[in-house]
Amino acid sequence: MEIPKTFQPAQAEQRWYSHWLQKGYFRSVPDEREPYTIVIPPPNVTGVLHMGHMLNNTLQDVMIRRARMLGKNACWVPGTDHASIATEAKVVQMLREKGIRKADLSREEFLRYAWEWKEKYGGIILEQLKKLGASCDWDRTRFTMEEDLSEAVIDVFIDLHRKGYIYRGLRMVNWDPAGLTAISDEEVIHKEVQSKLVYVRYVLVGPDEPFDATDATAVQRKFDAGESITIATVRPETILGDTAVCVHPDDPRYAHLRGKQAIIPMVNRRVPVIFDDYILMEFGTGALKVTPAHDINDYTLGTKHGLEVIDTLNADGTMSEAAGHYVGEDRFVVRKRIVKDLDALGHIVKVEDYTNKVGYSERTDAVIEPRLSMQWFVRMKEFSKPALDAVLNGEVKLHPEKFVNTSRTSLDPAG
Amino acid sequence: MIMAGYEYRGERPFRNVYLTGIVRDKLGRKMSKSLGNSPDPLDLIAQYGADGVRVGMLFSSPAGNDLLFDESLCEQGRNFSNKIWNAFRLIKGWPVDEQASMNEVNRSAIHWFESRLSQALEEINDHYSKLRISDALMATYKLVWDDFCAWYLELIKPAYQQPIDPESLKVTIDYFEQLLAILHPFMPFITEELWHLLRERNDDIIVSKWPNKAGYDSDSLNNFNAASQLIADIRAFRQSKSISPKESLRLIIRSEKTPAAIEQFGSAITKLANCEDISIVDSKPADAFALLSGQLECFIPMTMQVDKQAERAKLEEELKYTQGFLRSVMAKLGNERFVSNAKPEVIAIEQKKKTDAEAKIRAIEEALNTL
Repeated sequence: MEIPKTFQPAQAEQRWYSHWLQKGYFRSVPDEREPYTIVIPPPNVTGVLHMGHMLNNTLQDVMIRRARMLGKNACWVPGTDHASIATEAKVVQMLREKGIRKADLSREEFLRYAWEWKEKYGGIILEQLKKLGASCDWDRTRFTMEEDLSEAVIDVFIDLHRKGYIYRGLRMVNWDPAGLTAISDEEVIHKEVQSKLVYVRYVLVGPDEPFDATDATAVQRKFDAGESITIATVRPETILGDTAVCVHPDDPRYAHLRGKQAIIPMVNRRVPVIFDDYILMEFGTGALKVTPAHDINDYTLGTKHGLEVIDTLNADGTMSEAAGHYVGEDRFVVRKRIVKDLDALGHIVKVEDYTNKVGYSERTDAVIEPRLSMQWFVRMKEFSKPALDAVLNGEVKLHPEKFVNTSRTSLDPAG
Repeated sequence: MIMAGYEYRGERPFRNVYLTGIVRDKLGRKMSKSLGNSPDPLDLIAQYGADGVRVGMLFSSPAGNDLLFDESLCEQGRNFSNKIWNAFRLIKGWPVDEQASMNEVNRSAIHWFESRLSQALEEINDHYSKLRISDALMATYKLVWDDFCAWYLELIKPAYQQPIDPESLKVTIDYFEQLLAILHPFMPFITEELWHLLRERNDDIIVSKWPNKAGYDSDSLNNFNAASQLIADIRAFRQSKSISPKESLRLIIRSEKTPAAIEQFGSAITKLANCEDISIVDSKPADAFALLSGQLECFIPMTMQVDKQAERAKLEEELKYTQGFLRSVMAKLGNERFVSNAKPEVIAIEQKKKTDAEAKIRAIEEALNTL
């Protein structure tokens, strides 16, 4: 027989893969042999093969093929994950092409379309894995939205709820105003940017002191008398949501302010001056505006001091009704406009160039907005303990071992 | 999944969890659509073959660490496929003389490779048992490329258009088959293809048995290491003296008795280093280049044409350089401030540089005298 001069991969890959399938070598049924099983970390049903998949599926295939050759009953279970946000985006796009609006559909109708999309376009990635040579038991392919798997998820949810592990609460999330979704810490890219640090002065009044903040001469009199406090901010548009001004309890400059109130400009809201050692005396003026709805640290301060939470932004990053000014305008437009308007009212002390780090969405490159959102939580204390113990005592082994430490922090709520 | 396993089944869901790092580009940046630094895996497969890409991915991904991906890794993977393919074509291309019996070179090569294969397999199995998949690949790669292709096949290879004996060919095909099996998890397609080209058969490599080896002859492995080192040194010697590989040399070794490496692999050295003969003497021969290879004190008589003029110029140049180097080291060691302030290990390094340079100067001077 004539031996070709060079190996022809494309041809051989196709030929041998079909041969292996036809011979049923990937199929596994329990028998007397020692089992060796891998459950694929299911790729998204909407996914297409990327280099990360290449790496982890090559590794799995190497392990499965060697186990098979060692005479073990090797079984690699494939499947896809329904990844609801990504899938929903695909379905909505398909509906748009058909001229259907998601809002016009009932939940059941929408789900029917979701399944239609999945049957037609989903799971391309599994076909791509075959090109890589993945020797999965394709007869066992699963999809996480299958009826019994969904059923199991609901059962577990109910069970955890009955055990009292599940609760809801308002929490700060990384909000992507372009993608209109919360994203994980992992998906936030922090970049250094040039900003303006704006110094703004707020009028100070006694708790029962009558004062008309709309009276420009009265305001000017306060400034002239030094009865004001200056804060520094890179986000002046959030001033409209301020509900306190905070200083350090040991700061001699502000010791006389106990019991005083500050008046938030433009909205003319009286807010307390609070004292907390969270403040860095050296930063800016040593006085901090507190906006619990739009900053995670301010939110923590607010909870501690019982402050009001005023959410001045809409989901898409425009100003909300609650802001009282610039309603419907974009946060970045307002950031510039409010400085001009505050200046006209005599509140701006100075503006400095300032370099700071800002979080961007990995998906849309929009600037992330810390946003309060009602979230579901699971109390992990009791739930994670057996898992943590198993990892620490080696009943479940992590490879490489250095990840045992990582798991200690992720599985141990106190860790 | 571990939590759910214990909560709902009362047992661990799995024994082992393997964690991979992130695939980054060669500059260490995360791959993303917007950076355009994320190649399409299917394009890579079309270009380098699935086997090439699989191997390329694993070349640089020690367990749990990030992988810095560079397309040249896939190219290296494809080159590995080609190397295996060419080894196969080489073996298949040899004419066979059914009457011939195995010669001494082949006998020693086969004895060595048997041990080398067991030793490497032990190492590979150990890597697998610890889930160090990239290390298992590197050990496999070295076994196939260096030990089998670069050494074993070179030793076994009959002279141009000469036949091989049937026994050597059979053993070589057996070895090749076992190597294909060890390669199969990494390169499933080319191994299945060659498995069937190697012999007419109905069984498939995917369900073949993983090779099982026990024990190896360490003496044989050590002797081969010494012999292969000597071959490499003689080749380097030829290059430095511009002596063609086709011109045979005489090799003289000063030793009380025949060294074990020569005893076992003398014929192999003769073949691969193109030596006329190897003689063992008990005193330094006159008119010969000295060559220290590991523990072996070797000499090569100057029978071949050497341009003495050029050789002398080269040696003198080297002597001048080494003397200059020694002077700079001496200056450092003579500097009291340096000696009293530097760490002891730094001073030790300088001392070693000094003795090495002195030894080199002596060797060059001796070589000049011989000329």
